[in-house]
Amino acid sequence: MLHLLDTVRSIPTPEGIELTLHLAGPVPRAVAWLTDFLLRLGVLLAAAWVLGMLGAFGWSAILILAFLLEWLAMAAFEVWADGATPGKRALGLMVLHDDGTPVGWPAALVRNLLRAVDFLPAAYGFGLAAMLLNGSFKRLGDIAAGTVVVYREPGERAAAIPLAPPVPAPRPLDLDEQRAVMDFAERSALLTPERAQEIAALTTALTGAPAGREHQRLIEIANHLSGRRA
Amino acid sequence: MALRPRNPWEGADLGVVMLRAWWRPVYSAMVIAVLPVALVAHLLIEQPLIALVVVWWFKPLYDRVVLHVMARALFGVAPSLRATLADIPSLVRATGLAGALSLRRLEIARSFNLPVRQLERQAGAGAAARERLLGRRAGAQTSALMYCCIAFETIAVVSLAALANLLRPASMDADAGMSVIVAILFGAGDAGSWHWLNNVAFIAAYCAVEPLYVGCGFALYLNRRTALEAWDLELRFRRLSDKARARAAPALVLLAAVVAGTSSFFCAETAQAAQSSRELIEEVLAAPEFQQYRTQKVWRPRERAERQPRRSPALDLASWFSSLATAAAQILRVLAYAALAYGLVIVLRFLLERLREGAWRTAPAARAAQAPEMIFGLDVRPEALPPDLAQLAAAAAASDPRLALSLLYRGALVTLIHRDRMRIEHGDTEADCVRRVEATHAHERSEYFARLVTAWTRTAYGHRPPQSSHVIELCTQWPRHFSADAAA
Repeated sequence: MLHLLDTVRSIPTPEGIELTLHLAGPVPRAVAWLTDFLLRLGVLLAAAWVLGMLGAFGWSAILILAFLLEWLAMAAFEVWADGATPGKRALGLMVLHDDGTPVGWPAALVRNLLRAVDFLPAAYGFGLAAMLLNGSFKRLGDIAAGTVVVYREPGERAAAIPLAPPVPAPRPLDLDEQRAVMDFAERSALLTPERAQEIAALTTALTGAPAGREHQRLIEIANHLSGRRA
Repeated sequence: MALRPRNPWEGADLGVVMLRAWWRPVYSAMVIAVLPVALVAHLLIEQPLIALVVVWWFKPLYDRVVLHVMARALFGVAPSLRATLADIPSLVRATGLAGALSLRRLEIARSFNLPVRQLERQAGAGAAARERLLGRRAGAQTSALMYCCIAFETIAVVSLAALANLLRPASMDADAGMSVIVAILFGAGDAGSWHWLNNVAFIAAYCAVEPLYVGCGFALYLNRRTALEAWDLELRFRRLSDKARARAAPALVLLAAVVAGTSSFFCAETAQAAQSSRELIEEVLAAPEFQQYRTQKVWRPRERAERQPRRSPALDLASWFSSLATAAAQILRVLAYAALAYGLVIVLRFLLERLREGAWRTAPAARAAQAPEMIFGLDVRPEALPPDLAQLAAAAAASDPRLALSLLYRGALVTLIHRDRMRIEHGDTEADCVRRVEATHAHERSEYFARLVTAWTRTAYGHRPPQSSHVIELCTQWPRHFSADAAA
């Protein structure tokens, strides 16, 4: 079978359902990391400004806070806040176990503590190299912890289908055909009318529409499929 | 490449996958493109820093070579190195390289816009408009991609320097090691003979990261066009219509074969198919999963030795008679079975008829147990009614027509339920009762019942009692239809 290039990881469940995880690559993850880094820095600077006024005790508190922020805060976010640090949330990413289950403390701690290894030899050189070479965009911490970073909402959000008088298809459509018709109707607003008609013209066998009306007929069938009745 | 609408970040990630799939042709093309430029620059220019800047400035040239290889690989096969080299002159001429090296050199969306000029061969205002349209919803991603790739280059250089320090031979003292790092990172003057390392590290970083930048930009471009032109939908529709055609084809073939009358061909084919499927089954059964045998011992009754009938000529007549009797017995048996079947059919038809009539009569005792006690809020037990109902009602007709009609109506219902075994459902209305009576009783009786019900409903619900003469008429006619001993 032809192997298509893609960035998904599919997980067959015992129930025979194929779950697909949409893996996130180095660019969005770098942006997410930068966001988190700036946030940590901001929090630390603000705390230092306040606690610095407390003398020696204040400085010890700052050091403890710095330690917690660097090593534990991100893991805590990943466990308690839906697998996403603030940066990941901003980019629509989340951390999951390899099998798609939500990440727990052991994995979250391992992947965050091993950031130190990814940082080697300097500035995340190993982490970047691992991410580019690994089939699931994993840095070393991810490989050790058995986690993946995925998109929360892959794909564009579907638009509403344009309204039209519902018309049933000339024969019952199977699931694939129904999906294709609905997808077409949802996305037809984004296409130029000429292009939409060009694509719709491929479906004469499906719609039995007269030439030149395939686009409109597909929209009408989609309206019927979506449950509208005249 | 799997086509589907992706969010732009995911679209950009696809570039990494493409680079991973075709790293060999892409990186060799990249190196082939960079090396001559780097050599010429370093031979002609004294200052290493300026030579490095020149190599950096020519990045759009390398981009074109990398994109050329990737696009060819995506839409067919990756070209050989020789073919790539042969294509370079056309890439230099027809892809707006002059503009890319001068005015647009610092463009942020460089790799995203490159396919417009190189693959669509657009130029000038047309290209600018096209880039604006495509870039409308990918601006954040293209700039993030640009800055990330700058960062990745820096990371590569810094990591190389740090790695060099980590792997420094023990014999080299720390100062010399430090000067190597400084040389790699800054190319600083006091690094002495390690000076050239800086340029090598940076050029290596360009070689490593630039294909990533181009690949991700190309992937973003593809994703944007997939969204704008619905490539994936086109592909799906094509596949579906192919499938529909394939589904229609066997029917046509069959029709043609029947018309031509060449059914033997099909028989042969079917036999062949059966043969091949049998072979397939045997093949599957030969698999080790099915090659498990076990021996099992069970007790079975010993077979009786067969008795050999002794034949003698004297018995021939007797045996003839006995075989005649056996034949007669067989015939009788068949007849008996036929009679049984006939009886069953009769019984079934009888039952069906009764069912269709809707008047399924159960045994009176069972029926009485099921008879309802309250209908329309009226007490319809027989014992709740006086025996001389019609006379009582007639007596009350003038003074209390409501009471009179109530008595008549209840009495009629009781008679219908208990004498006529009429079924009245829990949810039936008065009109339903009338309809049931019409279905099961003579016209005269049902007509009387209808009149009674009308009078009753008008009185009970509409508070419009009929003339007392009408009530008395109903009373006098009542016993004829509904007294317990009147004919059903």
